[in-house]
Amino acid sequence: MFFYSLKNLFSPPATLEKGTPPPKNYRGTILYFEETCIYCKKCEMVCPPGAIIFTYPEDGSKKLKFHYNPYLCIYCGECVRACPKPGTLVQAETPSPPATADQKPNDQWFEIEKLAVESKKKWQEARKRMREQKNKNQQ
Amino acid sequence: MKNFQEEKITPDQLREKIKSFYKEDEWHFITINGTDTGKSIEVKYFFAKYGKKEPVYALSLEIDYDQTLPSITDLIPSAWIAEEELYDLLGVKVEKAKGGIFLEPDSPKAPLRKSFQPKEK
Amino acid sequence: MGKKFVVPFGSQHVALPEPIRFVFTTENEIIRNVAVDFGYVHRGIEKACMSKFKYTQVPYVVARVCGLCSISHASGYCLAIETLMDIEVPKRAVYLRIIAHELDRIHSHLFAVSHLCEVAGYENLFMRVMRDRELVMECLEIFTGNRVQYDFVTIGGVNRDLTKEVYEELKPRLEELEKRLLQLKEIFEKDYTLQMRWKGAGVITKEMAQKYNAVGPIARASGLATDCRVEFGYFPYEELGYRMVLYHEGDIWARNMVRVDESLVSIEIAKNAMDNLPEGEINVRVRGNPNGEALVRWEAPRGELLYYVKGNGKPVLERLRIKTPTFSVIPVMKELYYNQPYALVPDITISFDPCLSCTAR
Repeated sequence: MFFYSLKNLFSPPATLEKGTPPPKNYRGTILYFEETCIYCKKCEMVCPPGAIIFTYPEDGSKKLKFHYNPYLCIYCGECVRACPKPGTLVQAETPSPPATADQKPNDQWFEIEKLAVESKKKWQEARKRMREQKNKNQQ
Repeated sequence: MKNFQEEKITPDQLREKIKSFYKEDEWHFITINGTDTGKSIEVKYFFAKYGKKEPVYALSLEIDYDQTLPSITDLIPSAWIAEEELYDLLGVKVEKAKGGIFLEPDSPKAPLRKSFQPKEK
Repeated sequence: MGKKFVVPFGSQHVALPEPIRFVFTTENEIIRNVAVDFGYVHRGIEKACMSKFKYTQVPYVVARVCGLCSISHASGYCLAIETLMDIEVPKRAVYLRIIAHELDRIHSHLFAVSHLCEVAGYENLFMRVMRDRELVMECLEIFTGNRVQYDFVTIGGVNRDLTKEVYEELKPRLEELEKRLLQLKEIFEKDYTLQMRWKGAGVITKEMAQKYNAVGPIARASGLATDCRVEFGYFPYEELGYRMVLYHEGDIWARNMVRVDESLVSIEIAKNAMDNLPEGEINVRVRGNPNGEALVRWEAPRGELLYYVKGNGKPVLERLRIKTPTFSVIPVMKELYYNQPYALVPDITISFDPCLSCTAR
């Protein structure tokens, strides 16, 4: 024990240096590619902390907007496994960028949460109007 | 699929029942669990045998919200902690339980009941 | 007869990692009466799992009950749901769970051992154990992709596979760890200072362990043969080289040695499981909602963990009960303090490896 401790005085530190890149297989940030998305909202439903939210367009079209909060995310990868279109959601091997105070990550996210509820109501009304229009046209 | 043996009893039979089979060197008392079913509180006592691959044995009883549950601390000395938890988290009146261990005096009462509503922010 | 003094220990104390409060009534430094209070960190996890989260999201919530044994909580819950819904987990997933669980046990045990050294005043050994623990932390990081919260187990299987590259990274690290642990064991067996401090202090007899229903390493250090890995019999531990570590002294030294020896057994199990990994799927899809009740006894690093699940055919569970290991050892801990000198209190408390955030949930 004594010699072991003495040896330690002259050996390099056991901890990793600052700035060491994360190891392989690291669970990093979630990337979203809109081109292949079919807006099934499965990722939103399975996400444990609720870090994925879709907001609806007001004109009633089916193109929803994807919002992701990397500071709420726990990087479990459940959304990636739930996605029916492979390649739409990808877990990268790099960490998310750190949040800064001037970004106001919390306030922004609360607004998006409110917006999601409000925009869904408006979207449903727009859809209803569109359906009525369609029925009229058919008659 | 249920994977434990269950026996239904009434609160009055509880102490007699435990006295009849519980031996310190044979049975391992696991814990007491309370569930709010909406009408009453279902209390389960779990026991397992040391070193044997047998299903867990459970004694199950139902009590009303304001009924008092007899204490088993003198038969099984380690049960006091589970009884305190029942008192604090489910609001079951257990004999000898003082409360205030799992929750602090100013915290909400009986949070695991179905009628409990958390405070809005 | 001396004058009686009331000495509090906690809720904040240098020896304690988490808040627990004891109020000792001492007489000539000998403890005559104990009052205990905990639950300072009640977070309402059970209530959240029963009201806010769907049953498929709950594994990630219960993993946050404890930082050191998060994988035990997640796999205990998943096992309970799988028993309830009659899901058969693929054999490869079972083996991967065993590997992750045993690696987790090693890192939890080494943490407890190092902490005990620190409380005994042996800072140098504390640093050495922590340094060796870094090896197993690296293993877990490579294996599951994260250092502390693994999120590795899910209902119906596991999330990540063990590839050939990962296997080649893990194997040399585990062999190195085994070598270092054997050196550590020699130190604990022969070191004069530690023997003086730990031998014969805070003795729990077998009768006392039975009377107060002690669990885990504390029970096994007192000669009480109880281990949920054997008693529950869900995982094939016996064919992977499991053997029970039993000590009969029941003192602080024995509790420490149980942890060191169990880490060695865990390395053996993990290595065997990695070598004999069966081929196949790593998870199955889960459909439907749970209805009925099931119960799982699961051996976490600190002892027996109980998960009781009751579903009513809805996505949100009706009842989820977590009984943590420290919950079961607090009665015997309280009883042990009677007639002990106050100076031994930090050592006795830490030799139980208490996890109060688990207990308060």
